[in-house]
Amino acid sequence: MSAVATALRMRGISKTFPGVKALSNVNLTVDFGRVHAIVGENGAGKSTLMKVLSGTYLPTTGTTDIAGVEVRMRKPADAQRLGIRMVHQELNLVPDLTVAENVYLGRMPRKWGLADKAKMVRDAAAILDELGAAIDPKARLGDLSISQQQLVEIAKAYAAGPRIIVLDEPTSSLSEHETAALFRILRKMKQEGIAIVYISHRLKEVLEIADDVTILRDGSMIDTRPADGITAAEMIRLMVGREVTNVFPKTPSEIGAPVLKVAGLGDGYNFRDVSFEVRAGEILGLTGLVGAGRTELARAVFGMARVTEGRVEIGGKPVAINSPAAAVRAGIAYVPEDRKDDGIVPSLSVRENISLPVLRKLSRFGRVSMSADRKLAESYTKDFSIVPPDPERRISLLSGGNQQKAVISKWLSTNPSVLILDEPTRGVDVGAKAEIHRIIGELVAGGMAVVMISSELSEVLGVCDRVVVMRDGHASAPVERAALSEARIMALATGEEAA
Amino acid sequence: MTVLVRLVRYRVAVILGLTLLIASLTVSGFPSVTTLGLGLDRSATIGIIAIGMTVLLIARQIDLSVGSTFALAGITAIMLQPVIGIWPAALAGVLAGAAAGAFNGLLSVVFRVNALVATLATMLIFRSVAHWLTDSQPVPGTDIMLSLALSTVHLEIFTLRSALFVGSILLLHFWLTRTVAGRNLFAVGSNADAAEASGIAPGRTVFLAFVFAGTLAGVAGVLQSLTTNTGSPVFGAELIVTVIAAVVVGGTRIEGGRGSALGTLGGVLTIAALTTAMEFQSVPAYIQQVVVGLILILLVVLDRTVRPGPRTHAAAGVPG
Repeated sequence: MSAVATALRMRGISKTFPGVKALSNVNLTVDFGRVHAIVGENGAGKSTLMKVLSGTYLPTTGTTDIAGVEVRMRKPADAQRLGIRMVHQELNLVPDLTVAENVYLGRMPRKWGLADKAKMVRDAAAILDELGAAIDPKARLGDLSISQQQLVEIAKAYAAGPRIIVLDEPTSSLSEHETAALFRILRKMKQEGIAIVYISHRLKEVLEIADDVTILRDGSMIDTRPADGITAAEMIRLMVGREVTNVFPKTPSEIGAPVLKVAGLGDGYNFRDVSFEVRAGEILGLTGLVGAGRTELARAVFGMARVTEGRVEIGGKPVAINSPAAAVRAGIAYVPEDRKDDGIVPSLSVRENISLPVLRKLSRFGRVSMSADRKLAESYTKDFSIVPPDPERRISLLSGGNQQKAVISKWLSTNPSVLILDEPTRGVDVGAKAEIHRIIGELVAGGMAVVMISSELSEVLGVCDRVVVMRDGHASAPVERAALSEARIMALATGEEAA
Repeated sequence: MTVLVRLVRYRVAVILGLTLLIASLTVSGFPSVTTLGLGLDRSATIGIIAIGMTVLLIARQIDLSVGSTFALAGITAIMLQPVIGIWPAALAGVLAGAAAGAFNGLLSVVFRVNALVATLATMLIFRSVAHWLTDSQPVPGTDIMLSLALSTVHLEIFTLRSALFVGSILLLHFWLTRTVAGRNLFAVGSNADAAEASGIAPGRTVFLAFVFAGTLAGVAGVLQSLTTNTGSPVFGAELIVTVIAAVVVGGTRIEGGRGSALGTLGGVLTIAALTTAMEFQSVPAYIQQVVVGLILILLVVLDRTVRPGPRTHAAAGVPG
């Protein structure tokens, strides 16, 4: 361990973009061998601060000391030379290289001037093993699941032997099991004296792993406190500047007749013999470990993937769904897990994204009615308080939570009777999360049937009326809300009875 | 691995093998060392340029101007012969190619012009410069004997340029698979942001890829004009289509991040074998193009349908 206890000291950091002050006068001190969490809503400046720390942005004012020495980082390579490693929220990996090559990207070991592949594979295997990840170092990265890729990203940062490691929402695609494994790894790194900066929306996790917590709001630093003396409620209050009473408000709603019925559905590979039904006015939770087949099931119900057995019924009548277009006609809408790839068209405006599936309805004689289009977008922007309230803004410029609200708007415009939401609050901040839950609550109160896929147990327990747990492609019998508990779900998800 | 996946993986070799087999059965005297030497020599020009194109496509770039660069380099090498002598002029021709590549790289990296647009523009510009320099007339070289010397067949197979082609392919294969810079090239083409965040400089990689492609087009152009003892502004006018077809037939992905040198060798030889065999059979030229086009489509469709999707969760274990 280093003689200097302070790994990182950022003082008076400000960053101004044309027209926007993203950070103003932020101070951050992180010690070696401690986990320092940074919390704040989306747009609070966490990402900007981390981009300053990783050398992507040069701050407008302020200084950064690494291990007591003032440094000036102009590009990511500078930060890496100083021993700073990032684990990005948006995976920063190369799909066409192998796992081992990704772990050593930018600093491959050489032998006689050549890339030493054997050593890379050996070392990557050892590190993945140390991290408890059963991943073949010779596999092509693009063939791995998202959660496996996340583990590779962490292995990549760890393999570099960093002095400071920055993790940005590392658990957003991990199951609770994998999160527990990650925390073991972080504690190990901590013992090795590595300074860890941990960014997360999941306050429970922050309380579990962090030693110190810094709260950011609107680009300013609100407070830094030891994690011991702070509660989740207090963090939320500091983050939003007001008291949020219930993160998961549950709107009571009338439960009616079954709308969607899935009977014996299987694709012969990812899931088998899955049966459940969703009733009007009900939120059915679909949970399980990552890789249990939830997303594949949802994609199949929505016609994005083929099924080999079973049937789907809407309102008691069997429907053949072999394409998303057919699903939309049958009244099914699907908000996908991968917002960036499947949810939004980044180059279009919020308005154009929202009206995408209903352009035909909005047009007469082949010409899209601009006024109807605008009215639709404006009503959703207002109802869902999408920020900024400008439907003409390019959707890629919005924060994750607001993008998600726009994606939900887009699907509501098709007037579905069943709405399938796949990890709807993944990577969005507390405020937006409550907002999304409120929207879902209103929808079911209006008689919609909702299927919500989520890996976050507290969310599942908070909002769902019934929960189906998937494990290895098989679905459990639905668990009623009254019988729901964290232990019950984990037992069904892992197949191990809780003690 | 199933047989089908194996067949698709080595589809270039399969197609090349089939082509040679059918040609041997239908054309008497086709399978001979002479045919091989002939095929190699006639594919050398395409092949040398395809080497540069392989590198560019892997980096998710493209250079449409290689045909014009090819002509410009050849003209430079011929026109400077009376002034500075044959070999310095040849070197100047190669350097002209490198300069053309550097110009493309500059447009693409510094001015951030999309490579397709940038090199479409320079394709027109370089070609016009070639016409302007020569008054649209072919220019004769100073030493007719050199062209004969360059066409000499060594070891019964190789001419200078076909040896250069095959040698360069082997070097490229080694570079792409074994060197750190080669692996970084794939990283830049597959996910430039990730590469940059890992400390690789994508801009520099892409710029050098353009210079490399321009240089090789220059080498091919100089060899062509020395072999024919002529610099012509119309040389290589339709070459770009064949070059891209050969590289893509060889399995290099136009979207970047995937490709191989041996694949390009296979692609170049496949197209050469096809056209040679069909010429022997007196198949009209336009039918030849149809066949090449169909094979291109077949190979790409095979690749798309058999390759498993990138985001199946099937392999997901439960670690920990």
